[in-house]
Amino acid sequence: MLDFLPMSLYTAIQNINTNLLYEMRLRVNQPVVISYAGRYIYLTNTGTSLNANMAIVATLQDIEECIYKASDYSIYAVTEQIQQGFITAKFGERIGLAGAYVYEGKQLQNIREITSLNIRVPHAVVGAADGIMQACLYTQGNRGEGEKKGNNLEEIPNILLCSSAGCGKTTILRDLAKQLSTLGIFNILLSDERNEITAIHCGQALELGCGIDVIRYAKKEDALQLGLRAMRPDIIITDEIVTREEVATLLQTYYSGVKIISTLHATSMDDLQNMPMLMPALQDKLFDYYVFLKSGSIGQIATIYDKNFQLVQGVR
Amino acid sequence: MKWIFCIALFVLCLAVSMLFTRKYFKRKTFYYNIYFFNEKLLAEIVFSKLPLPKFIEKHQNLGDCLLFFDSEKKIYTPEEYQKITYLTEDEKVYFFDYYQMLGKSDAKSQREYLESVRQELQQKKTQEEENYKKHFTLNLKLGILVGLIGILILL
Repeated sequence: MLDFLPMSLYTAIQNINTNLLYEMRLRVNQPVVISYAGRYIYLTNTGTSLNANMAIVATLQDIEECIYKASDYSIYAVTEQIQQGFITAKFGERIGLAGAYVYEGKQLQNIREITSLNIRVPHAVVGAADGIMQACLYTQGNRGEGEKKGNNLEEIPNILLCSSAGCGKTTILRDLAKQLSTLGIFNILLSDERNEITAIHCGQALELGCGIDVIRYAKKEDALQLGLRAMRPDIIITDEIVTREEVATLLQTYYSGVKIISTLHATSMDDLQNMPMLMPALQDKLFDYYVFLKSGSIGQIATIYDKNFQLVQGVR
Repeated sequence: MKWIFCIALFVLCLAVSMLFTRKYFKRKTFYYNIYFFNEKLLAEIVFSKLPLPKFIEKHQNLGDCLLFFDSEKKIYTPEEYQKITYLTEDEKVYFFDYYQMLGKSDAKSQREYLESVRQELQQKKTQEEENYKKHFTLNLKLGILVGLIGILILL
């Protein structure tokens, strides 16, 4: 993990607990900042510090080296990723890029003179989806003690997982896929647009269950439409819905009888209901549950709403 | 006994003459390999865009072309590829620059670069093949001539 970092930074992170490392921020000629154990702090040669003067300073060469190594010494192999503003490294680390955008006509061609990197470190957290499984798949009457639903495909609900950035949606989605795959022999299609859910590299991946087919680096519309025909899924799990076209494709998939689990950037039901692109999905009651995570924390459920936008768990 | 000695002398003369063509053989092979390395990489970038290290793993039969890459598929320092003795200094600089361009740009730019050097590599490949044939023929004839002279002297 993180083997694309320059030696100075790679050595520095050996002095911290990487299980608590969620994010690294490299900015040219600025101290390196990490999200560690839930807070932002500076990275030093020997660990962490709140004092910026003690922090390691990232240089332009460090950033260039990160990008070159993360692309496996082949920028041409990650052109499409760069055009979307990120690179995914071999163990699923998503590297966001900030620099000068180069356009050819109206199309983004490249990003040059990259001066900032946002490196997000994936973690497989066993049990991250327990709360959702408990709330959405167990029977209504005895939560936590009742009979487990979900052995039958019909009982698996369509779920939309919502939160602001950095609250653990991807981690929960990963665990949810794994837990669903243990409920029965289902065909689960996972659309992993940035290869950060599964982090597949040379046949190795973050822990997945059996019965999961992964389509990586594909646009959601392509993954869902082609995947539906080719892989005959029972359940489709996909990361962030962003565009109207993606919502339309999800609806089409829903009408094909496939269960859908997805994520969205939204912090409240009001945000959701004010999103024009989501209107068709809300009107057709595509999702059975809307799960909102607590802002400022990682993986904590704040509220859950049902398809009629009624609160079923948490405090509004 | 004398005839055995004559035959041995003839074979020795041929072998020595072939040694003189070794450098041209290596140059021909190198340019053959580098031309096809360029072609295969171009095809790779157009179709599946496999990263360079994996591409090189798939094509281990490209001989001294791969000497320019270390285990991490970075370019050698100049001191390392000086070991390729059959290339001139200018050629070493040319290929060092060529390898420096690999993997450093987006797909479109990389493709354009590889296409731009394609014709030059093809010309060099053809030139080295002809060079090798010429020197092979010459040295073979010289070897036979010297061998025959040696046999005559012995007899």
